[in-house]
Amino acid sequence: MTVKEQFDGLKAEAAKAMYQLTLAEVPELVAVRRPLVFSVDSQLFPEISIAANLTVDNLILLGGIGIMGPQSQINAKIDKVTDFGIESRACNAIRLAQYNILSGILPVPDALVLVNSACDGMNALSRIAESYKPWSKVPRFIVNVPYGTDDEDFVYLGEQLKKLNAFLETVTGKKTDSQRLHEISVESNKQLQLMLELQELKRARPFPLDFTVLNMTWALKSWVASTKPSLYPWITDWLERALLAGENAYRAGKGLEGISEKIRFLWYDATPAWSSELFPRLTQELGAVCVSNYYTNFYDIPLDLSSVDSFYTSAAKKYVLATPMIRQSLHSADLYCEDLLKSVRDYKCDAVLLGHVGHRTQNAMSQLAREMCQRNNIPFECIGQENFDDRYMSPDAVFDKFKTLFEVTGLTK
Amino acid sequence: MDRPQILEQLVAVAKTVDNEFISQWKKNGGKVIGYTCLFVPEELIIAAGMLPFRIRGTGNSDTANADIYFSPESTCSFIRNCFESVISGKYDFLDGLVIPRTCDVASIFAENLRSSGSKLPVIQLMLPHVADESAADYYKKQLLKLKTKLEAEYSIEIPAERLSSAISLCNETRRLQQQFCELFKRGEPPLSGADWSAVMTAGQSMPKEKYNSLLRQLLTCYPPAVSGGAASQSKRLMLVGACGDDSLVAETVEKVGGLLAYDFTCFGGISIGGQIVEGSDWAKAFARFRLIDYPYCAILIGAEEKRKAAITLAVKDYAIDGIIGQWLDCCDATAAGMLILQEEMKEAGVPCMLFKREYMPDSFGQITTRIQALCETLTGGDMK
Ligand code: SF4
Ligand code: SF4
Repeated sequence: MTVKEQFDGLKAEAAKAMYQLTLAEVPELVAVRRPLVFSVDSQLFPEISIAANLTVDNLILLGGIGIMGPQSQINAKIDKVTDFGIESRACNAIRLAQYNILSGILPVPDALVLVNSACDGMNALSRIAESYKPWSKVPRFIVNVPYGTDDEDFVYLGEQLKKLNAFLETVTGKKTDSQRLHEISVESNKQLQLMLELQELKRARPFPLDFTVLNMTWALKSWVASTKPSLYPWITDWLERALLAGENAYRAGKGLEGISEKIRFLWYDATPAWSSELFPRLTQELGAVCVSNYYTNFYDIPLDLSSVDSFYTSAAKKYVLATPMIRQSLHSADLYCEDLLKSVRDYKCDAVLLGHVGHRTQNAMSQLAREMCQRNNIPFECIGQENFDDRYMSPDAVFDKFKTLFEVTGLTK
Repeated sequence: MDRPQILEQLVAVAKTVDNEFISQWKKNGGKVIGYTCLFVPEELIIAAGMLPFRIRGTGNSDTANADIYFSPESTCSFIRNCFESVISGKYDFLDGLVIPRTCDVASIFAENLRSSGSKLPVIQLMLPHVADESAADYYKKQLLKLKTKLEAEYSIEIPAERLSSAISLCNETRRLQQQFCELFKRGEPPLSGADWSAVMTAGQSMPKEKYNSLLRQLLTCYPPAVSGGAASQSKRLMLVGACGDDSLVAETVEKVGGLLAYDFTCFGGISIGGQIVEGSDWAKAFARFRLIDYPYCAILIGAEEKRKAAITLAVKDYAIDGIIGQWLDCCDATAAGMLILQEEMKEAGVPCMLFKREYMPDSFGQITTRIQALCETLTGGDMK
């Protein structure tokens, strides 16, 4: 099998697993999936529910990026949300999720997990879920994720995660066997190791990986796993095969098939829903290759299994400092800029691009990021796209912005 | 009745940023600490011997410089106007700032300020975003850290007795403000809704002793009404939502023949609350005050029932006919709060009109039309 075939096979398998996160599954939820747990962020501590073989559905994924399919379908739904009366300019992932609750298309769950992170939008979504009348009797657990990163912040969040475990056991009747939780956590750490090794390959020039495969790793480990706990061993296996394919590609030393790599850029953001209209064009026409983004930066913060307390505290630290979007939104601008610079250096990036309008924190830090890039002679552009609605700024317009930046900074020469 | 001179004095304080009381305070060598939201205990700053001033963008005309740091496509105009005011020198009388991480954009205020070249010392306050006991405990610890940071930054000590007396002083402010609000329960209140917001805003912009003394005197100008006063001739509206440090909505309501009889905004009714328990543990008392007893900030999860109860109570007590909800563009917290408000008021049978605005709007024409339409609906199309 060629490397390309290996990558294509991995993508097909992952796409099939990810389809289960879509709204298409909602009618089935009511019929077969009880207890039904909705969480504003299922990344909180997935190992707990996986160990209990409990499915946790993520309200954002069901609502926003869970819509896999043609962009026109996503746009049509965004319009429906506006017509419904949700006029805010929040990120469309949030607006779609708010709509799914308020329009009554979601079934009444058996439990709700609400949380303030990663952004004001998620916080607002939690308030909507909290106040929605038909769900008023649903037992709920609210997690307050601290903005601080001192040890006492992690202890505070860890204590909440411990209580979350007890809450889920009580309301769903599904007990988390401690031996099983230990096994799942060991597996989780193993998955993290594989991802860290995969990440190392991002350093290679030419870039040896299929970026979509890289992007799918977090989705599988965190999102798919909490929706389909039974897939956990398969996810480890998938990661092992992804690493193997990556290493084969690296050894071949040829980079992506049919691409002559000229520019390596850091997309310091989440990948837009319409990225298939943009990224392939960039590689094909400009030789510009995306080598890293929010969701493909992994941090070596494993679960510490040495004691019960260290276990929960490390889970808290892992959530706060190693979860994409949480790390970039919840902390200091200094950390945000340091991470950016580290990515540029580690992955030999020639330019940095970012700018989803829904990311309030990111936009508020963009001038700081720009100044830092200027100091380090790194071409930088804050695009101002909407990651879910391609009419706000079309992929063609975004492409032109990239092209102009690359041209004026001499990168296309 | 002529408008009391004291009222004019308070209105003048609300209409500008700098004011005569601050000049006097500075002349006497006092320090002024700016802050951006109610989660910062004024009590602590007062106990430190300094003057707390809640920053706002009053009088600002554009946000060109702030927009470099805070994209207008993504940031509410309140933060941009406040930031512009600080970097353009309107707040040169400040000796420092305390900024809590209330929302996404407020969280980056300090770092952007530093990058703009400002030398103003800024202390950040970490906040919980959940209204429950364990969050209150976490918040208490953050308040104690804030005290330590203030002491270190200004080389001072904040003794416990001073904290107790500062709490008593601010409790007295809240008590007087509540008494002031009572005037609006009358069928024909002796003041306008615009006066309400000015009096509340002034309370967050000048020394508390002076404010309390002026407010006490102002209240004596309005002796108790005979059996609640005459029946209201105007439709009585209540403003809910973001900011509330200007009188634009109140003036608009009055222009179309209505009356703004209660203001449940951040600078208004939300800021008054009840009383902080006086005793030894000031940080615990303040944390519980903001998170457990009066958790009305739009950023808090787990407070829906209490928020709804407070609004419903005000509707009853102030004989409110309809609600106007205002939110600022790009504020995800208040935008969601408005969706919730609309549902809750529909259920309660209270007419409710929501609108999105800019902090410093170029024009208020469309909103005036909508407020007028609300008033007309309430009067069955028969507006005076
Ligand atoms: S994509 Fe960004 S703004 Fe949208 S929900 Fe996620 S963290 Fe919030
Ligand atoms: S109006 Fe909203 S976005 Fe603006 S500062 Fe207040 S909470 Fe933050």
